[in-house]
Amino acid sequence: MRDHAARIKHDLGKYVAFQVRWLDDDADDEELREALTADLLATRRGPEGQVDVLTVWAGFRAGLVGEQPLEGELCVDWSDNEAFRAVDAAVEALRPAVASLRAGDALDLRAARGHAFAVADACKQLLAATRDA
Amino acid sequence: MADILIIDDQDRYAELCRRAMPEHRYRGPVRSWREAAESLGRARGRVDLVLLDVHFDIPAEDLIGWEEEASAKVVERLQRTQGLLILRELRSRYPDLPVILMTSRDDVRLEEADDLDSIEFTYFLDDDYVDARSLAALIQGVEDQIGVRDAEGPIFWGRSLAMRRIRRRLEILAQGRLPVVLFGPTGTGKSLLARHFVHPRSGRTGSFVSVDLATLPKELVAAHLFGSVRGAYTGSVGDRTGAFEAADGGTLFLDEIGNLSLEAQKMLLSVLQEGRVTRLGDLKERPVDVKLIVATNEDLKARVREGSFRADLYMRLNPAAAVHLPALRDRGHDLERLIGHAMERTLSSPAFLGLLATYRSKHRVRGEGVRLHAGADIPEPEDGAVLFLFPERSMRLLRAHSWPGNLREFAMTVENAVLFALSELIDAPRTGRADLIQVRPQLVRDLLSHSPEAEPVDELDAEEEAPDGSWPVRVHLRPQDTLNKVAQDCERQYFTRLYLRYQGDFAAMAQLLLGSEEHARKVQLRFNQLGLKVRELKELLR
Repeated sequence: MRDHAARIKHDLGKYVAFQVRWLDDDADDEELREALTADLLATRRGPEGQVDVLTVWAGFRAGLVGEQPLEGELCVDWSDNEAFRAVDAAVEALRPAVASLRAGDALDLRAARGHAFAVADACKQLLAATRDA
Repeated sequence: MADILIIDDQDRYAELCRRAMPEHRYRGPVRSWREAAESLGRARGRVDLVLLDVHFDIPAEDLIGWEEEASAKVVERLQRTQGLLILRELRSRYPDLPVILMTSRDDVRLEEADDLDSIEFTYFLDDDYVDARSLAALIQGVEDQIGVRDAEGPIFWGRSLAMRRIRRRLEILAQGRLPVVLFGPTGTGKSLLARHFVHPRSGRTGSFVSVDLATLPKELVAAHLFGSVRGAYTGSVGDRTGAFEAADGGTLFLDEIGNLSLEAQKMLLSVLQEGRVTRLGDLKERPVDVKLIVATNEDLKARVREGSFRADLYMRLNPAAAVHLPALRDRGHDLERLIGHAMERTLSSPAFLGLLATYRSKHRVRGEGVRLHAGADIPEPEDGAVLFLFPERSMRLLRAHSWPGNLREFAMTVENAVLFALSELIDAPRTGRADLIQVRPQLVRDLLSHSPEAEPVDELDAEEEAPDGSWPVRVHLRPQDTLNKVAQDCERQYFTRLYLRYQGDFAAMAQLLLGSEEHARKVQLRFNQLGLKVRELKELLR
């Protein structure tokens, strides 16, 4: 479980706000949009191409709600866990931003950045919760 | 500005670093240990710092620790901890190269690598959710730490492992009671180290007394060292305090100890054993408490064998802890930074300041400050600072020179080069950048031609690596030569270069050529097939 949470922290928490974290608070909209597009639509980049934040989380989430066993472990169900729910809610809050970025629609960029940071923080808390468990 | 190698399977850090911290020079990203080893080999010690990611999503066969029968789970584990395995490789080859691990200490613990805590020159991010400000601050902190230690006089320590070890050893020896022996060719800074490094760290409040045994008349050495009373020898008209008494409570530095006669050696041994000195012609013993530092360019062990240096005195000098200062030609990687160190003294000299003021006035270069750059590229102008540029061809000549006078000769050459380059341009019409003063290769060649061991420098022989890591080979072609012979000629030169670059480390060459250190034997066999004699190549390394 801890390994799983560590992967979530690295693959999701680190990269969901990777580029936006490097921008100054007064970065212009173009820079912010570019960084958010990279962070939210290409949260994972690899041989399989670019994977958005929702899909990355969906892959991890299944292992946390008993839908599939964690590697080498029995199924776990953390759906009632506060830390898990915080990640789930924070990712869900990003869904409109992902859709807008994909469609090229207008978007409250600063709010989206805040949601991305919230996901990152929630991932840290999830890892801490597995350590305490 | 730092020269930073990024080892990361993704471009993200590299892109952000280049954008957010353009003041540094970046190499990479390189995506595996094999690529990193190649890049570090090409850089020839110029990398200041490594930024290393931990998770490497790369093909299994590129992972350190991968074996053909490895399960998917093992491969994933290797990918997740690959940065730590790369760090271990880095530490075994480059123990003092600063590495910033792009993860927090907590997460490294999670990856079961507790022992990394004890490794020097390894830095962790406070939080692996890094931003530009925190990473820039960390890089600056590492740079400052290195820079402070480099700049701490009296000599330029540089970044080579050998010099760092010497520094550490001297710091320890300075505080102990045992004598310190400094071996090293002329001009390597032995007396500077004794006076300005060992003595201040010895905790002694007495004086530093230096005696050059090469310049004292032999018949006066004993009196000079141990003192004398009136009438002790012809011309001795009064009592005289010797160097040992003068250095009581402090440090006595005996330069060129090999010049000491056997008789004087016996007296020196007696003082070291008893902690008491007797002036020539006197019966009274006087207690002395002296930290002794001796220096020589000679092989004292050989002198002991031939009977001209006492074995008991040699053993008393603590030879096991002797410090061997390397010749400048053996500190090639430090050369660029040494220019900056050598220039520091020049910059404050009245002659230089006067010339610089005249140059600024004549060519209307307004502003202040002086910058230095060595290499193929030319930095942009900066706030009116005058830029002294040692272009790559000049650097090749400096690197190819044997520097028989070591640091002393080097400092004088750099000072002359800077002064002459500046003075040459004062009255010259300037059409390009007036802030730029180039130290031309011809000027460097002229200055080096006066060196006692100077040989005409063949441009091709002096040629070293181009910025892309390549180097030239020279092949003499005759009409009857087969392609195989031509190829082997090239291969021989290639292998010779590699041998010199890796200091004869076949494992390192195998890593580069065949992707694994385990193939060292194969590389050695190829050397034999090509007729390359390792014994002869070893001579080149000396």
